[in-house]
Amino acid sequence: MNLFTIAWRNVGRNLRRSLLSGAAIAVATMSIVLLFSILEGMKTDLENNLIDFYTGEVQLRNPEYGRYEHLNPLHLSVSDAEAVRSRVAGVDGVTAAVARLSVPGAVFRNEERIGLQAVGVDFDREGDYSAIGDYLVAGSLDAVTGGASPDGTSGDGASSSGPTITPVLVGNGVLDRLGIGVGDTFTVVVRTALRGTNAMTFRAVAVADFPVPTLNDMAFWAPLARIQHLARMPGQAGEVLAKLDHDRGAPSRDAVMSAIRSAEPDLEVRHFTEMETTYSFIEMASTAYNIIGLFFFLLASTVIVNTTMMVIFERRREIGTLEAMGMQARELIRMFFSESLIIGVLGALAGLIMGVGVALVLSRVGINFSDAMQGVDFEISPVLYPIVNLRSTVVVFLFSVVVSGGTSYIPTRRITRIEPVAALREE
Amino acid sequence: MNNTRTRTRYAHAATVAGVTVALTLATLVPLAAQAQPSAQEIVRRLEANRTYETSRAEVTMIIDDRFGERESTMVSYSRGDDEALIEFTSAAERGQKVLRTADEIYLYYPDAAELVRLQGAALRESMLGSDVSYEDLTGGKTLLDTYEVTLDGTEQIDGHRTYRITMEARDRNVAYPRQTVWVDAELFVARRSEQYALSGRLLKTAVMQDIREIDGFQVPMRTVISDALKRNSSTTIRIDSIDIGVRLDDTLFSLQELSW
Amino acid sequence: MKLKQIVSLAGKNLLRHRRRTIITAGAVAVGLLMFILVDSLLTGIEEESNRNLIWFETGAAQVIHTGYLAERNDRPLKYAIDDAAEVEAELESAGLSATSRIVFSGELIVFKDPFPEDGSVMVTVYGIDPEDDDDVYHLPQTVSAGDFLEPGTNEALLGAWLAEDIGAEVGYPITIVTRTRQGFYQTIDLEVAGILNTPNPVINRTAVFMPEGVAADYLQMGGAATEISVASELGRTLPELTREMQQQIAGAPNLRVADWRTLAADAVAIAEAKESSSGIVLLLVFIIAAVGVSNTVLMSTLERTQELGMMRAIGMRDREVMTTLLVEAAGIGLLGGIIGIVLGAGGVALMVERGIDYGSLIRDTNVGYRVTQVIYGAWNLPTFGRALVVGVVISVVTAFVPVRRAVRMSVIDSLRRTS
Repeated sequence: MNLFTIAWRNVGRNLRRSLLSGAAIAVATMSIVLLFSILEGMKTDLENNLIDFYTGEVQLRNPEYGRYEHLNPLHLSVSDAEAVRSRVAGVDGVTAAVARLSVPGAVFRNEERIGLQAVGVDFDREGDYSAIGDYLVAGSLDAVTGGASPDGTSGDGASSSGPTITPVLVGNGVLDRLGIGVGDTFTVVVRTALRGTNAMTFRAVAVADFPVPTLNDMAFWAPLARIQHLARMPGQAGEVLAKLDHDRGAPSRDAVMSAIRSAEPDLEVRHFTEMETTYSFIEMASTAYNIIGLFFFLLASTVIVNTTMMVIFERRREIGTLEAMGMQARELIRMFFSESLIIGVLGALAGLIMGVGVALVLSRVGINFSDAMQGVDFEISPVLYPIVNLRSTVVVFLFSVVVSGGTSYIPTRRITRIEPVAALREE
Repeated sequence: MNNTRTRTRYAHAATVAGVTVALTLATLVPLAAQAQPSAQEIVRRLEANRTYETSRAEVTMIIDDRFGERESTMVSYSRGDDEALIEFTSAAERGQKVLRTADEIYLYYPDAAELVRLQGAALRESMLGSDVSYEDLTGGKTLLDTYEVTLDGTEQIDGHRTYRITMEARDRNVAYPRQTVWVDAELFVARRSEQYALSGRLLKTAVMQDIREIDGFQVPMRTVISDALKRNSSTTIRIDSIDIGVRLDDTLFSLQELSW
Repeated sequence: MKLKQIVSLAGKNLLRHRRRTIITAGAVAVGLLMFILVDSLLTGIEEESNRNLIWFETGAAQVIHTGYLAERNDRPLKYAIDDAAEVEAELESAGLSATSRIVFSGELIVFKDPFPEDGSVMVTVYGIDPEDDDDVYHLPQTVSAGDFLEPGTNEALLGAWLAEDIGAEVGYPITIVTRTRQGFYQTIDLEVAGILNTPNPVINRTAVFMPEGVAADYLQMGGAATEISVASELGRTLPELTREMQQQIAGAPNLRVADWRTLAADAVAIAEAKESSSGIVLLLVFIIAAVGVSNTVLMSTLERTQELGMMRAIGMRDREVMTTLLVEAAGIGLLGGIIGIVLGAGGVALMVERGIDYGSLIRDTNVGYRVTQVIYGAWNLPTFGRALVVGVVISVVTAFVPVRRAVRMSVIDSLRRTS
């Protein structure tokens, strides 16, 4: 008789008890699946924000810039930006590339000096790269790209006889800080690349809810050509950002990086994981969560140990009988172990399915942290979407099975201590 | 026969007496001039020398910093102590204007659609990234009102005799609690000035060179300002041409000038 | 049967089946232990971030000028507390630990030789009283190089990351350029006396500390300070503390009290975000613990179906049987709870004293700055009480259903049941 079959039948025979033990494992597994999905969601969210709005997946910039970064040296730029951008976009393994020019400036209102960040972007290309259109809450991108207009009129401003007002997209915190509304204008003074000053007047025709609170309060997006004009940097950009292909057949990251480097030997090329950013802190946080996950498993396993002990205790008469019938201690152990294993696998599976189910629902709906996120200077969005992936499912499942199997081993070993006669005599 | 000889003798005496008096007077006057003027007198004459009823100047500003040297050119108009209009003519800043009236500064940028008005703390911004801030352009009060002045003595600068004047702030609302200025003893124009922090540490130095007389005023045609704490940072202001007392349009110093 | 008899019967039952009792109580104990430990750890993490603020930036609460809060980011000297020493003395006479500080912003200027390059960086300068600043703040323990400040000297302490950024070492000369309270330009020459490595990144990145008296002279403060900070008292809650402070400054027209949450509104938001996620974690732990406890109680109750039948057969009423079993369950819950709490206290004590060093678990990050690698636990006494109550409640509640079912069965059926 196959031990396994016996084990299986035993499990079925004491269904209630099996369900109970299985339930503990299921709950533990479900919790951990959820936990890791949330964490994965956070990591991915942070990555996306960094890649879309800060560093790109790969960043190209002037090699001298980093040394003087705190002085904001605009003149240490990427010249002939469009040529660089299209060369990078043409590299095998790059899915999208954009050129951006970010210039710090200030609005002077009454006695106040309000600092803002003017970001010059190519709105046509940004659709592919950052999907900026998805973040709009008012106005439209067409209003921005419709063209700069002479004061007072809207539509095409072909002649530049009057002063020009450039339509822009603003973060929705910017309007509050400036004390203006949609459709109003503001004038920003900047230091130019020639170390002089210049100013330009903008009209907020579109408002975006950037996923990062700091951007919402500080940034506004304008057509690249206008910012180049403002900062006296014709044809130049501060950086070129690229996104890489992650599909199965795509070239490896190292291959793409070296291809980009050979295409642009004069520029500094970095992958975002090589940079000091908030990402490193998330890596640390994920270690902390790994510890907590381990804790959960330990907790679940104590439950299993406990249950197994109870089971063995309860079934000592049965054990005694079986031993009296000639079953070897070793076979007994294997049988009980198999039972635990079956329960463990089924429990983990159930937990996995439940956990994945909840995570999938939450991944549509999102967990809303926005009240807590006010004023946070982290590059994480206020609404988190858990992500179900290999790590949060299969790994957890396997781990669950191993832990439950392993921890049940200890109490089953005690079976050998049970004397058949004493067990049979007991009630 | 007697009368003619006497008259000639008197005439001769009178001539001698007259010449003597004239000579004496001639020597007396320079002696009077050599008596030292007071500190207040010196500062008053210094300020008189640089208060133009009206002026028009073509100026080049050369800014030197960590990243290299660059030049901007401008045309500058002034009226009295309060009003000034600067119009930039160099390529990078062409068309930009700065208007100063009493306590306010307005900035006109051709690329913008409205004026930028600087008030209060915003005046500390530096002009064109130079060592000159907008605050340095404002004034209104005379030096004698704001500072207590004392004459320390005389020094030679570039072979010229100068009076060294120390100024201690009377008022609380000035940036520099102490300044020293070396005033040319003959021309009553500053050849050098130093600005200090309250601790006594030197913050800024200005050196005035190439002093010429133009339209009755002594004008330093070249001024070099350096920041004592940022060693590779200096600004040179070179006056390429200047007309003083020139006739200026009434509307020149009004906001109407700053329109698109 | 009277209640006393039932309880004594329950007690005897528990003693009689010692192994079963211990195993079940053990389940309760372990479940509660885990709950207490995780709660302590999460509280510790939260307290750590709060502590970073309270120990290094804000104190528990401050007395400030009424106009100061709105302009706090600019660090204006014009909204300062006149006669700061007097106000500080008044607070101390009420038994509070207080210290005054002059906080201002300035430009830190360094010159090549001995520094690697000429440079300047905007910093926040804290004029502190070297003698009683540690009544409220915890700077002296964070000195990583050199020494702490001596009063009346032209010395400075730099945050560790700031020092690293500009290449500063102990003994190097620095100059701070700023404006006095009256608006004059001022320069302050100082010598780096020490470097501080605190758990607070803001301090590490942008802070310079100097003796308050020296700062007061340079800045023409005239006896004023920008803040008077107060430390928390054991046994006094935050609202009580601020109320006491409010009383002491009642006369002054221009002063107000602000607690650390108000002073650091943006940092607090991060803490609250963490709170939501730790709430979720704790809930999950609780669920697992509850499941473990229920599991075991259920099983042991089921196992005793036969025994229950016996009790009914000898004449005990159904209700008495149920009560007995529920009292037993409560007893197990209590026993397990007590064990769990005792073990939990031990575990928390360990975590509070030694903490968990996770340094070896993190690979070398690219951050470039050292971050504390030990998490400390925290004492959270209400949790202990809660855990005990919950342990008893869960045991009783989970025993309820199977007991009732067992009692509903016919006596014969229950007698016939073997495990």
